[in-house]
Amino acid sequence: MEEKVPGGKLARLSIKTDGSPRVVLSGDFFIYPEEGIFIIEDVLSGLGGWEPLEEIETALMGAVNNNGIELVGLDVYVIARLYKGAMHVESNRA
Amino acid sequence: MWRVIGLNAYPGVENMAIDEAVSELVAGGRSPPTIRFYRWSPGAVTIGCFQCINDEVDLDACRRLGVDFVRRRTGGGAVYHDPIGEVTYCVITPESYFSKDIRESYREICSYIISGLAKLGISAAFRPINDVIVDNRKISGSAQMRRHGVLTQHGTILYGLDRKTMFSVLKPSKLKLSDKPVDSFEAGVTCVKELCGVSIEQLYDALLHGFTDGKEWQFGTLTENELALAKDAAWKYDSYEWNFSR
Repeated sequence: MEEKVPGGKLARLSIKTDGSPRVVLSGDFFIYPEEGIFIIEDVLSGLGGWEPLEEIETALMGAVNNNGIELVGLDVYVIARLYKGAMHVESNRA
Repeated sequence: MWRVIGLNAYPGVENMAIDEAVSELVAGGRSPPTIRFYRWSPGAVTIGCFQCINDEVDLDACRRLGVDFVRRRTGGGAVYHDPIGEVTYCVITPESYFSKDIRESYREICSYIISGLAKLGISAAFRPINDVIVDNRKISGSAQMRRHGVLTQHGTILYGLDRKTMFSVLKPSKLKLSDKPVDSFEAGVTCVKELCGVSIEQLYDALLHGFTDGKEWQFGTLTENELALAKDAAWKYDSYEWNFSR
């Protein structure tokens, strides 16, 4: 799944299923500090995929705010939509 | 007092390792705020630290064309660094020298590029978040990181364009064009040579002025400590684990 953030950057999200399912976020955005991406991926990897979009956004917003993460060219709404889309593809594949 | 390290060419792995080494020593107060200019030999593709290399780079084309590839520790997008077609800069300084606001600090540092290009008669503008454009076409891109109180921003200024090689080794998603006023990647970039007839040395001289005007500075070289640290850091940039980490 990929999405271009208006006025921002391109983000991609995939679910790696070799072993326990793991979310991988990639793209040409900026995350400060850089380790913030692992926190975001861990939050998403800990979800079930059935949660409503608003709940995913809230979880991401909490992680970003609590860990002093700054997203530049990317936002939690795009990440949440990409995650929902990727989980939808995965559930259809299963 | 700023140190300016003049234009030298290195392989991609070494360029990235040197930027990291200088950043670490600026953080420890053992190196001065530094502006470094460099080129790439051989040509190289760098990818942003959050990018998946297989999504962004045609690795077979790189191998065929003798183009190196390396992951940066800064975010941003994939870049083809032509060995004769660009000047790269890196500003490494305590964070306090620039705005706390990351977007604003991109604007501040990119203003040096705009000012350098103006000395060549090129009217360029900042395009947020991290680009410099001429007539809506990109001529420069930058990427910044902040760590241990140090701001490191590196970026390229295109002198000549080898579009064929650039778009053989890069695989940009068409989605990236969706908010750009051009209909192809080839049309979305320009370079100094297409805009005026100066040499790359004249571009470097103009950029040197753009980056240093109003600053106290002197030319310097990499210290023994920086070279030793860069040698240690190079293994990471040369490793499969780093370059294929996502």
